[in-house]
Amino acid sequence: MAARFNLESLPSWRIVAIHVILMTAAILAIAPFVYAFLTSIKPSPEILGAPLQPITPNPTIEHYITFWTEHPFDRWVLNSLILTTGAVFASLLLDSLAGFALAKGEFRGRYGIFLLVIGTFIIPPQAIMVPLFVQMGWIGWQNTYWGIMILIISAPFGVFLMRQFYLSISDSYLEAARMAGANTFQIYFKIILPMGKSALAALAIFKFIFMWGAFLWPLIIVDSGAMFPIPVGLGLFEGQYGDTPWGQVLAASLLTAAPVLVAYILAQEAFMKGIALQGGVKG
Amino acid sequence: MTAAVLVAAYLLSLGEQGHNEPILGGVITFTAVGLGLIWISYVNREFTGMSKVRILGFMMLVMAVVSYLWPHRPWPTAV
Amino acid sequence: MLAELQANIKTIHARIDDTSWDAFTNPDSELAWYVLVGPKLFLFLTIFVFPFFFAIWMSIHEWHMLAAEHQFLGLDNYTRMLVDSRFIDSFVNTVIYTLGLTLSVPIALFLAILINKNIRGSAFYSAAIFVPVVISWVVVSLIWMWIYNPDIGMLNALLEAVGLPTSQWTRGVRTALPSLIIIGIWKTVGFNLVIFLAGLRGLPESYYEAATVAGANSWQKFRYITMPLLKPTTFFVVLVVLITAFREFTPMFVITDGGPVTATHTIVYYFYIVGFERGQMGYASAMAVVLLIVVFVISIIQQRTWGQDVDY
Repeated sequence: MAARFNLESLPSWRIVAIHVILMTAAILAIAPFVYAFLTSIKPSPEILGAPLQPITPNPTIEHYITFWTEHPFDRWVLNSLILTTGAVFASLLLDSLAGFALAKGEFRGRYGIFLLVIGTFIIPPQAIMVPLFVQMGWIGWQNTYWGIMILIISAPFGVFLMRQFYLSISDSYLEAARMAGANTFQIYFKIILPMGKSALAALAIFKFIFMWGAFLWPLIIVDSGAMFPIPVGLGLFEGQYGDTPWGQVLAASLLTAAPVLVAYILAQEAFMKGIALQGGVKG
Repeated sequence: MTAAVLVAAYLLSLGEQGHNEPILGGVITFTAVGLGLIWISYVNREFTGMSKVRILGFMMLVMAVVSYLWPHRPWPTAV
Repeated sequence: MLAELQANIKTIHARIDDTSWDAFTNPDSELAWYVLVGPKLFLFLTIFVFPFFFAIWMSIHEWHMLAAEHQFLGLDNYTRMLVDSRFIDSFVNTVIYTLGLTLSVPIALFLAILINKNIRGSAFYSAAIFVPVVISWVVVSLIWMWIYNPDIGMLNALLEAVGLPTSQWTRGVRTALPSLIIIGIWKTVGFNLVIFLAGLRGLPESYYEAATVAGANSWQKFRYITMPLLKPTTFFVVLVVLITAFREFTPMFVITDGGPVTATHTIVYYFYIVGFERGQMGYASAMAVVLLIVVFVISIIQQRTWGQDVDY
């Protein structure tokens, strides 16, 4: 690794100071989640009465159970799973197809299409949500999974990323495949797709987090509780009460965060790469 | 052509709330993704790691069944 | 008869080979590439490009969600924004929020430099600081809503325990926006940190060795080597922070509902209220166009002033 400093060059008091600063930052980053968890297993009176007491003497999972039985949380989870699966798969397919064509194809209008990709980066999705909502009404896609997914699938970022990646693949592979008589689709499925595994994995994580956490667009396009993805269900659930049931709110939040957290703990490096992708490619 | 558009429009309307007591949108999505993954793993079977893709594909098919059989519950209506 | 049929089939096969499949097997053919790029191009055009112009079209009309007729208004929707005090509040709040969030950039740079010293546990520290980035905004908002709660929240309890004055946090007119800015910084630092780390690790070590030989102290090294070399990375991080912060919606919707009064109205929040709760889609589109222009201008200014040597 370039530009890393040697341990020997730092006096020990500075190492201690660095540890203290970084430890503080790390604790500040994680503490809200840990504390939310510890609170979510407290009985209600303790949540209201003793917010600071870290560990409750009588832990309970009543908030999780009440929340799950009183709200169709399982359905929201299923909705989110459907949306995430569909959006991630469709984006990977379309982005890698288009990225491949823009990187290796020779056809008229290639540069123009690439400029279009760069140009759509500038458009904030929020700015087109009103017309898109009207358009979805035209084709009857309000209140459908497809209506929610399509905005995430259409985002230009993946094309850009996959194009950058495929530019680094040597043309000799493609020429060899052409010699063997493979057509463009065979080259895509048998060479380009498997070679792009790492970039596809990073893009998949990126899209997964994006779709799993999407809030504004699903809130706009869906108006029935049966179609809510988790974030919308959660966000609106909290506002239903005059007196917020904090135990349930925190329990539900943690249930929502849990799959992402577990995935993150299992594959930290991939997650950081996936999210920081935007930085790596200077989109 | 028109017929194809009509069929496509019908299939896609299945994901709509109202048509979705067994969540047909979910069934369509999971089936499509599952078959897609299995096909990709079949085409590229000589590569390593493709068995994982195939397992994932079959899991998606299982999810399609699961979402078809998802229990009916009274859902809260518009908020 | 049979021979004729077979001959026919042969010609048909030949024709299929010639026409449709030849396009895909022949490397010089363009058709296959168009088929590959086609679906995505179609989505770009229908989901981004068309709505972009459609938004401008809607913004010059009186466009109610349920109305069948849309009356032409010219620039009325835009002039209306200038006299709509709620919109002006939203705009000012958005600018304050956005500028507030840029504080996450120096914090992240500082932490990145410390982590890059590669002491034991660096990987753990960066992984921990990154956690808030991974968790969705709704979850983060709900948890912080509880932390900030003036009556039963942990923050006030903590302040009370150490004898500091408590606050209304998100429920106070003057404290609401700063409270949201703190959440925003907390959630953004990890993202900036990872990008800075990537930037730092790409710096050539020889520069630092030369500086050490020349007797430079660590501040001088930072000032004369790290900072100039990290300029493109910093430029990028600031750009991303500005653009994402400018269109923030979830915390304002979930935690404060834009309130108290209009203290945490932001452009996208007010845009949502006008467009989808009141159904005045023409006016909302005008706001969307303003949002678009601002985001565009930020990109241009950044590129002109900082980004001369940034390559895309």
